[in-house]
This record gives sequence, C-alpha cells and structure tokens, in this order.
Amino acid sequence: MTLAELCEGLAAWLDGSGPRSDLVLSSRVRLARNVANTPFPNRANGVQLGRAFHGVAAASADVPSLASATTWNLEDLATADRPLLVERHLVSPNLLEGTGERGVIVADGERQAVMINEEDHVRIQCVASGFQLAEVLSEAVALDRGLEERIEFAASRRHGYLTACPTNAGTGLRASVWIHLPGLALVGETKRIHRSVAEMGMAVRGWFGEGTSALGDFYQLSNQQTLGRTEERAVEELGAVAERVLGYELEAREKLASSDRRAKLEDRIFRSEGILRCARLLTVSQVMACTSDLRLGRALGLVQVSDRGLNRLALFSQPAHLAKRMGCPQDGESSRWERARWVRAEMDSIGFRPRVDEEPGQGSTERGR
Amino acid sequence: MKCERCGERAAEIQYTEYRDGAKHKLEICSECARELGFHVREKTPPSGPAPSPTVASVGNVTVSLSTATELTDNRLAEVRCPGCGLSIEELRDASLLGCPQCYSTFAKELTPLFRRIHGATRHRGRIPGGECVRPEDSTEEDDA
Repeated sequence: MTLAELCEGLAAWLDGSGPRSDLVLSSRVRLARNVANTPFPNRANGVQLGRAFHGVAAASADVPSLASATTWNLEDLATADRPLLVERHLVSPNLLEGTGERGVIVADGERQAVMINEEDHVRIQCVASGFQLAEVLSEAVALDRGLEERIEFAASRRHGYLTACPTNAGTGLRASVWIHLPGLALVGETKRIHRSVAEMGMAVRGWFGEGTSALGDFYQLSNQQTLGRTEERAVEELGAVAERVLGYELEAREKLASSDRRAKLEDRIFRSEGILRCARLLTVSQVMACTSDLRLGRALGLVQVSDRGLNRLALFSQPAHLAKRMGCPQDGESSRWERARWVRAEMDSIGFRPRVDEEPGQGSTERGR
Repeated sequence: MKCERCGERAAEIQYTEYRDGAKHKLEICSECARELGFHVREKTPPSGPAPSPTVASVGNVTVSLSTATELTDNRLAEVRCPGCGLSIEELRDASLLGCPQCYSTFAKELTPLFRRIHGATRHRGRIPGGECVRPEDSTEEDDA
C-alpha cells in the first residue's frame, strides 16, 4: 500500500462501529519494548538503529497478523508527507523529530501498528472503535507474543520490560480511551474532572497525546503506572475511571437537556451545522468544534448524523491530509479556504438531519422557555 | 533555612516538582521527603551545594529522580553505565536511561523514583515467554 492509498481511506477504528461510540471514540493499548543487549534509541548510533529497524521489520513479516502489513521508513518518505502518519495517530510527533532509521509497520486497516525507534525500539499499538479495552489488550498481547518469538526483548523479572523512560518500565503498557466530553465542557466542569482523574492515578491528554491540547472536546484518558500492576489490572482500573467520567458526562448532558440553556444550545448546534455547510474559511479547530457540537446534538436527540461522517471530516481536515489532497503544501488563508471548500462538499455525506419529530426552533425551543 | 513544607525542621533536600506546567522548587527536610515517598539515608549530605535532582515526567507531574542525600559528588563523578556510558548527570539532563544495563547501574537512583511514580518497585505481569511474574517471584538480585 502506498501512503497516498492509505490516506484516501478511513482507519477502521474511526468507523464509529464500536460499543458506546457515542461517548468513546476509541480504545487503545500500546506496549513499549526494546531489543535486548542494544542501547535504547537515545544512545544508539546509526548502525544500531538500522539493525533494530530492519530486525523488527523482518520479524514482523513472519507474524501472521502482520502478514499483509506495510512498513514505512521515515527516511524514505518526503518530509511533507511524514505528518500524515501523525495525523492518523500511527506515529507520535516525537518520531518525526528523531534521526536515523525509524518508522512504522501498519496492518489490519490501521487497527495494529508497530512504531520503530521512537523513545523505545518497539511500540506495539492496537486500537479499536468505541469502548473495548479488554479486546485491544488481547490483540496487543497476541501481537507482542508474535514478535517475541522472533526478537529477544530486554526484560528482567524485577523490572519487567526495560524501557528508556522509567515511567514505562514494567509492563510497558499505556492503555487509553478517547472520550468525548462536550457536556462537561459546556457546564464548566472539565478542569474539576481533570483534577479528579489525576487523583485516581490516570492522566488526561489532548488530541495528539502528551502536552497537546484538546480538540473538539475529545480527551485521552490513560494509565500512568506501569510497574507493580499487571496488564489486566491496569486496563481494568482505567476502564473504571473512564466509566466514572462518562457518568459525569451523561449527568452534564441531562442537565443541559433540561436546563433553560436548551434553546441556546439547540441554536449553537444548528449554527455549527450552518458553519460547516456554508463557511468559506475554516481552521482545524473550528471543524473540530463544530463536529463536536453535532455529536452533542445527536446525543441530546436533536439531530441525526453519522459518526463515520464526522470522523471523516475531523481526519481529512488536518493540514497534511489537506495538503496531500491538494497536491501541494497549503498554508494560511489558502489552507483555510480549501478546507472549507472540501467540508462543504462533504456535508451531504455525513447524514445530517434534524430529528423528524422536532422541527428546529419550535417544539424543542418551547421546552427551553 | 527552614523546611518549606512543614516550616519547622531544617531544610536538607532540594525537591523539584512540576505540576500543571509550572516548576516548583522546594527546600524540604528529611521527614517531609520521607512523607513524599523518598528513601532518605540518615547520613548528612556532603558540604557544599547540593546537586540538583534528576527529574522524570509522569503525565503532567514531574518528580525527582533522586535526592541530595543519595547523589553524593563522588557518585555523580564516578558512576557510568558500563553498557552505554551514560552518566548520572546525563541521566539527570535527559530523564532517559541509555540501555537495559542502566537498570542495574542506576538501581540506587531508580528505586525511590519507581516508588514515587508507580507506588511499587517490582514488576507484576508478563515477561518474555508469556510468563507472569508475581511479587514473590522477583528478588533484588535477578535484575538484568
């Protein structure tokens, strides 16, 4: 598969088919591993990085679930194309900043990926639509076993899998769920939830991971502790915290649906649809904010709209995807113009329509008075 | 100087913590350091300025890798990992280990850090070969 072909499609985990995908965009598990008797990437020289890269790539060719995988070496990709992999969440922004042979193996409609020579030699990632942490853990463990039969990973009984950063030592597992919290944002509870999640030992991150901001009211909840807890327990604990946060979000949505802000909220949701359908200049964050409103509108029973369609808008509006479609890098106003033009053309495919039994501005607005 | 945490005992240890993107430097006493989960030896640190602690990020919280009482000047100067040549100072700067062997080379620095980050110092869970490690299986001696 070429990078252009990859970028024409939508990753399987964005198809909106998973359990509770009205609240949970995706569930992900990543396992950090390093090749035994080899310096970690931050201390490895070019030869050692190359050996690790090609060793992992060769081993993956023999793993059944990676049989039809594609391997991308960043060194072989044009600099302008590399951010495409970040926008698709197949590699981290840090991988792009690195040097030497590094890249990613992608399989199963982007459900499985193996990032090579980032902070650790190997980062196994399995991701699926909706709330299904236990399932993605099983997949990641199976993929790990497949690689482990062919590569000796650095490990000890005392410290488990040995990783470059002590924060990942032990299981090397980072499980995360991407949850949509527009209700909490609207009632001004997001910061309080962040604090309470941190107190429960979990981290809250933005759209592109650590240190990035939230886009479209999506937040990534993930475990922080990897030593002294089994993989299963870490995933169960994250699932329990996510359940609590989702409970708070549902409470916030109920509050919004019955409050005197309902008319304003309904107006906001339909305005967002209008912006997407008519605007001539759009930034990524505007697209994300408007699609977040439409998701909330559906959750409140005001509109119908397809998850898959909204996920398409969110992904294909990102700068590198836009540039790839246009055939040249876009910046500034021309980028915002092209994004808006593309979004307008796509609006018919997102399945948006007001709920049949509620004409906008009439029945539902009366409830708000 | 008085401990900036309890305001009563003498400050002996420099403690740096990053919370919500802000850096907080505190001079604290041994008692408060213990309450924060650090291993503190009874020995008084050598005279002169205390070496700054090594830090590592955990989500939006960053914690000290070690304290002044554990990083003596001699250890700072002498200890290098035989596997990759990483020194304690380089570890402090990058917050990253250099190779699998660093885990035994810097065990003294890592143990309190692990306790602070993970609330544990020993692995539980899978290891290569599909085995699961229970706490009683792992000992201090069997590190790689």
